Amino acid sequence: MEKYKKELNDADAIELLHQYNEDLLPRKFGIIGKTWTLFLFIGFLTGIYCYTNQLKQGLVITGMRDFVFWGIYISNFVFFVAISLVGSLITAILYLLRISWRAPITRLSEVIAVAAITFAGLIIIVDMGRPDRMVNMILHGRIQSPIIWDVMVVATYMMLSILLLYFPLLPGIAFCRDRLNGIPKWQKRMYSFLSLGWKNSPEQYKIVKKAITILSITIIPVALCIHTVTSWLFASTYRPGWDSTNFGAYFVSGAFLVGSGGVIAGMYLLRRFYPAYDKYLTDDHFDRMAKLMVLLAMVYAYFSINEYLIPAYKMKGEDSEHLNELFTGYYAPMFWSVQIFGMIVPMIVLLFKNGRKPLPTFIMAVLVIICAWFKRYLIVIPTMSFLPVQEIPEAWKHYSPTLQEWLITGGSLAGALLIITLFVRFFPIISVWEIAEERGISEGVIYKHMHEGNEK
Amino acid sequence: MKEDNSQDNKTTRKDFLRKSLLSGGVLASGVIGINKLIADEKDSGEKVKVLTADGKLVEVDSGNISKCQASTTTPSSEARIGIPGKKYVMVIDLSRCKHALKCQDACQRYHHLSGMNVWLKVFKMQDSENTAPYWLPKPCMHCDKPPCVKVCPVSATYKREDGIVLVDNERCIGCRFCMAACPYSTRSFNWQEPEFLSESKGAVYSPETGFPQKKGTVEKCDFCPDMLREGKLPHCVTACPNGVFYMGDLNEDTVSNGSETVRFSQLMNDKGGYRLNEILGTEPSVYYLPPVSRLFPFKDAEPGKGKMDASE
Amino acid sequence: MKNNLLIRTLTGNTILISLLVGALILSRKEAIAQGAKDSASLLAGQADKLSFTMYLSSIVSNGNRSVKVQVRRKENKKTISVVNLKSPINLYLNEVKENNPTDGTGWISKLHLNHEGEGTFEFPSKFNKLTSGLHEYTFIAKMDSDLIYKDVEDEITISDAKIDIEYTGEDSIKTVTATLSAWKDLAYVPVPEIEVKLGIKRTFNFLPFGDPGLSTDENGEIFGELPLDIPGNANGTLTIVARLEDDETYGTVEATADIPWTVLPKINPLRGRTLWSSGDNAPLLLVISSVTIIVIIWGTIIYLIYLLFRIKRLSKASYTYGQK
Repeated sequence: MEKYKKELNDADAIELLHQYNEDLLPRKFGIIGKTWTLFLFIGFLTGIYCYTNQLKQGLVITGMRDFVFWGIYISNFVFFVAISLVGSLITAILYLLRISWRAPITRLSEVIAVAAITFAGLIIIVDMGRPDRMVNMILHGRIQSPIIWDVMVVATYMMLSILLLYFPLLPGIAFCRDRLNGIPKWQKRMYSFLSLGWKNSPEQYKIVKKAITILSITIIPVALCIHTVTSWLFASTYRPGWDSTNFGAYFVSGAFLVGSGGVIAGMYLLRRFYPAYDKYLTDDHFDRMAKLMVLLAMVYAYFSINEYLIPAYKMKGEDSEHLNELFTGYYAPMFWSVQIFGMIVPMIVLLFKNGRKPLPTFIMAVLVIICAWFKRYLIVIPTMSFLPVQEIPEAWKHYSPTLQEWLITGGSLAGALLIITLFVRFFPIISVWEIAEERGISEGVIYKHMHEGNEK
Repeated sequence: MKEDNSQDNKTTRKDFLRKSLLSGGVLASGVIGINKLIADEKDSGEKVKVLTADGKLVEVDSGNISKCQASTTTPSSEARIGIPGKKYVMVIDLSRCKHALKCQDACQRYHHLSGMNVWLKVFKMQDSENTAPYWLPKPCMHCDKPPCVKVCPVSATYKREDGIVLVDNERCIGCRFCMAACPYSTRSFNWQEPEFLSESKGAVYSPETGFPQKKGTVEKCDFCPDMLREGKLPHCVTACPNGVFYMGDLNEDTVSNGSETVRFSQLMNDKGGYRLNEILGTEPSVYYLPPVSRLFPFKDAEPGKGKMDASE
Repeated sequence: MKNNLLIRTLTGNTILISLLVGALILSRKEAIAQGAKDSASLLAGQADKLSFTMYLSSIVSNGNRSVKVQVRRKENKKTISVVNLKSPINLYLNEVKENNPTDGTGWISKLHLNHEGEGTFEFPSKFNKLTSGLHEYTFIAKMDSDLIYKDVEDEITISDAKIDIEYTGEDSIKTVTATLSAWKDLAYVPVPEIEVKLGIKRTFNFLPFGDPGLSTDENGEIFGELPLDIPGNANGTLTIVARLEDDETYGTVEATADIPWTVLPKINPLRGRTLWSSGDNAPLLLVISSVTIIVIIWGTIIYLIYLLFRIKRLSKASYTYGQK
């Protein structure tokens, strides 16, 4: 990491800080940005509209029935929870390990985490038959139920993620408040409110740093819990394919993989649309993230082998129906696609130096994300489809999501992307003061410079 | 009407009338409306106020109100505790079942089940090519260590002291975790607003009848606790022409299928009773007698006979 | 009025059927049927009266007499109980006539069939006093208030009989003796060679004991040996039932008796702190550990929020760079 840490005299340092601020202040979207935002907004509204239909008519508008009673809402929930885990990976783990290249990507990963966990919470409400009775969870909650654990841990993780996003963002918000000119009044007021009157005093920075350390330590067990408890929603039943002691570790490892994919994709897109960012999100960052992804894919492969091959070796009666459908039956094309393109291909491509260039890394990351979504589908649905069932309409044995169900699910994905997009539009997605610190500029200079922004 | 209520004071009679109108439809026959119409009783001239199903207060001639049994609706709080001193068990004799499906018919009718919701299913069982097929009626197992109750986040499904597992569909949030947890797949979900006969509308809900069903909630076989409270056998037991189902109280060591009453322990001993999936440790309250020395040769079901086949 | 109420209370299919039936009834002025099914068959042109058969039975339980009436009809070769019959059935003692207040003969009561198709009249004790001279009863049930079915009737003649239960309990053998006796001339005399069932009263029906199919001996007695290990009632008794079922001469005669019993039921209500109890009864370890975790994590969160307030307070404090 030597190349980041140069000995700088104060004048150079201030010059650099000026440069950073110039590059990294949020700015108005161009035509692509606006179209993208509009697209997401329409997608989100379509989802809401379909959801009102569901509220009126009941879950009958979905493809779910008594035998396949959980569908893409639940698999999408698992996907959201998985991808939200990245916040803790990049921010907390890399922070505590003092990894020096983490600063430019922490905020991106935290925003992804907050957006994903928010919509994880929302999509699980969408799956409820009686969302109007949610208060029963408080009035009559049973601590014995994994759902209550999940509700608590999702709420806790959401709170911690928001705080972990917010504390390091304070100087950035204050900077926007002071430096952004010609912005609407509401935007100014929003910055002013959110900045808590931040004035870059060393005491304030001390508190922020303390809070980040506390948060980094606290969020790691909570993050592990959130996905482990989500896996328990399945593992605590008797169904073949879910009844597994491997599930917690399997889910967590998969979550790290898709989360890192999310960050890589975000990094690439930011660089693509903000050319100035390539000074901060360097090729080296892609290289390092790609190596991390190889490691995570290997860990995931390890748990996947545990999950599928050992039951397949025994082929217990019920397991064999399920596994045969995955390996050679109805779900085989999807199953092998996600294993190969979502795990093995990225693992191999990213082993090569040329494979770790930004574009191939981005492509691998997108593959990982798409496959991860379908992997969750394969974890949730087939288990219910292939129980020996009789006396039910043929249509109930196989599940295929309805259009409205897809639109609601798509709406939730659009909503999460909308949060990330709007964040990029209004807040500095790369933290100036953290980068400056990482690049060896002394605290005193940073605080003073950021403060001088206030005066202007 | 006059005679029936002559001992009651005015308030209780009104109450009775209101209840009759509100919940009379729950009762077995559910034909009050028709009876009233085709009755040849003359107007008695006495006017009484009754609450109609849609909540309006109307004044009608007392002769217009059909006699019907007062509601036995048990409030939710009481339905959570159960019938004191009892521990209900069911015994299903597989050697007698010939897939007559009278149990299912009765169950559907008395619980007013609509759509695809079937509480009592009868499966053709054939474990492997070389083993013989037989019919297996499958109600809720009312497990003593119920996995469905374990996972319920809001105590909407619960285990009572008398061994019955019920669902309170006024509390259920519709997460369907219980359906995932049940290893016997006995639970159904109301994917849409259930359809009822019109006279059932406005019936007073009790978890003991499970009626009226509600959109977005889970339901299942309930062992007919409203019948048990009256000391009567569940509908599937009485409907079966072959005496397949026995119901009884484990504390009394006695089960009855209506025509025969036998000692439970002796029945288990003599016929080699067992429970389904004992390996899961759920401890069901439903026991099976093996399909040996069968009364009927196995015949495959006629297509369209089952409740669900019919609507395929 | 009728139609008003109808429209308010009934909707959907029932309205349609009911109105059609209503029209039919208005034209016929009177009719009787049970439920929509029968109405439908009435509409289908089988407007002739349904053929009803009435069944009367007499029950004497521990000296209390009751009379039960059921009405059945045939449909597709199957016998069906008629339920919720609207027309009342009149019950008479000895003769079809007005009630005679001095000896209780004549009209006794009006019976309505309930939702299970049964109408029962339990004789009040003052009625027993009134008819104390009688030891043979003829019950007549008639639907004479109904114009179509006024001929439907049943008549039974029942002689007075009673059952006495006697219990001899030792450690190794516990026997119940039931004696059936009937009124003859001036006193109750034992009745031999009639099958009397012995049983233990249970939640549903009674559990037979002793040898099955036994008839009374010349002393009118029948013996049964009780199973020693059968659980009794929670209060330390066992309820014995002796029953003569549907006898042509005596009807159903039944006696019950509570005898002391030492085998108590193993009542084990499912309570306690388990994973399948209510939220209030969660296992303590689970409650303690989860509360501990929640308090620690949310304590930290609250502390962090407090730090935000401190940052805000520090913003208000005046601070100028360069003074340091």
